[in-house]
Amino acid sequence: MLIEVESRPSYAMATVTLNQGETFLSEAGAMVAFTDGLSLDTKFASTADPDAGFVGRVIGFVVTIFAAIVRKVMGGESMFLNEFRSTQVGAQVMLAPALVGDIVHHTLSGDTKLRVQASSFLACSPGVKQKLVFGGLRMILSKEGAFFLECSGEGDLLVNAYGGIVEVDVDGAYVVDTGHLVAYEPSLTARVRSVGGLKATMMSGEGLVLELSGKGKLYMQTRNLGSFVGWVTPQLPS
Amino acid sequence: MNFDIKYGPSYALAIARLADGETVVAEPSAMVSMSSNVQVTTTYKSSGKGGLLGGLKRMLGGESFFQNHFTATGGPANVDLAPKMVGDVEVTELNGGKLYLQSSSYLASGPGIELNTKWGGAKTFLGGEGMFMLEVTGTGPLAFNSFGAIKVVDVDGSFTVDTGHIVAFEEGLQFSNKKFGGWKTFLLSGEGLVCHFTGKGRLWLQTRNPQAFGQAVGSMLPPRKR
Repeated sequence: MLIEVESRPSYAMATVTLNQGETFLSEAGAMVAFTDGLSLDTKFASTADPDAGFVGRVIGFVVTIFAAIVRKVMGGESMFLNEFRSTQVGAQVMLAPALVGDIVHHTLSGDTKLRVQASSFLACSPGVKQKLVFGGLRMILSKEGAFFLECSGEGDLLVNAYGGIVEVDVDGAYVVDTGHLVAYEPSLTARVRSVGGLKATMMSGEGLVLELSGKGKLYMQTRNLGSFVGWVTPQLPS
Repeated sequence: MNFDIKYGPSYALAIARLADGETVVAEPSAMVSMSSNVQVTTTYKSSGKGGLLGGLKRMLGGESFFQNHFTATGGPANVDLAPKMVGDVEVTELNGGKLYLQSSSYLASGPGIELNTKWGGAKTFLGGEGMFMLEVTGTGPLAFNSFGAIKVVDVDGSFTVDTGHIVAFEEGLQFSNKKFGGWKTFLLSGEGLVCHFTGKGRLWLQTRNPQAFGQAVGSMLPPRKR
């Protein structure tokens, strides 16, 4: 499998080249184009454990459907993933997000995880497991998506952003605006807090921020979609 | 006459460099700035041919009824041209061949280029794009624009593209609209109809889909007042 990302950072597009029998999963709607030699399928975004017993699989299925609905309602993500399976060497699929901005290719090695803002998930290889995690009640207050996709396992993960992507290796503590958060490793402890005192929280325009402490990777985006919508709305004709 | 492209892929600008007496044709409102010795004429004619009918047909293709002709007089001149949307501009040279262009992607061309509106058939309508495509013929340079960056694909065999990502393709390619995968995939995948190209020729893709962008941002905007 070979993953190339071009036209960064404004209009990034990922081209995935697959060997025979390899598969790749993408968010619904992300497909730009594909070559011959691919078969297509659409699946529920599975959070079930394939190694579980019968009862475990039934419970897993119920959880999967529930998680898919939660993903749709709360995360704004589609309930479905598209699976591209290669039937010949060198088959390619090209993927791009709906928003303008960058794509980052993150590799999961088995002992690390990445929590991705639900709307920033683009695609992954089949070894990547996804679990929906709740960011806490205060995350709802922050206006951003309250749910994260926690990706674990081994494989390749493609994450998209609105604007450019900044990678920060946090060692200690770091504060990020919730609207600029793309993803972070859960080895970091996240705490939603106000930016300062009552006056700063009300007047600074920053509202709630996420404080990440510990050691791990953080991906941020250089633009905030909520802020853009707030700016563009009064410019539109009524 | 030749085009220089700058500031791509985000905010590409096409600079038409004209020798004395040369002309560049561009879609209305594309002009950003120009030398003072440029004479502008607005016609509804498509490069001297087509007349009133040509203009009407171009309008059906989603293009403007009028075209602007910029001619350098008494020395060389520059005309800076920009498309409406953010994204890239690509230039290709035609030598008597034929190219099909998504109607909103036309930016400018040399005077030897002709634009004709081609009924794409109900299949392109179902594909979610305009019902008409521009058929570009003649000789000379053609500048066209995209939403997002442009990716050039030289197809030999077959290749499938989401309809919202097609910019242009050469006449050597035939296309048909297909479902994306089986029925389940077609209904649930979020992809809908795709365009299946066969044959040999060049294809230009754009890395963003205007409709998908509109849905992503539009759902956050206040509803339109009537």
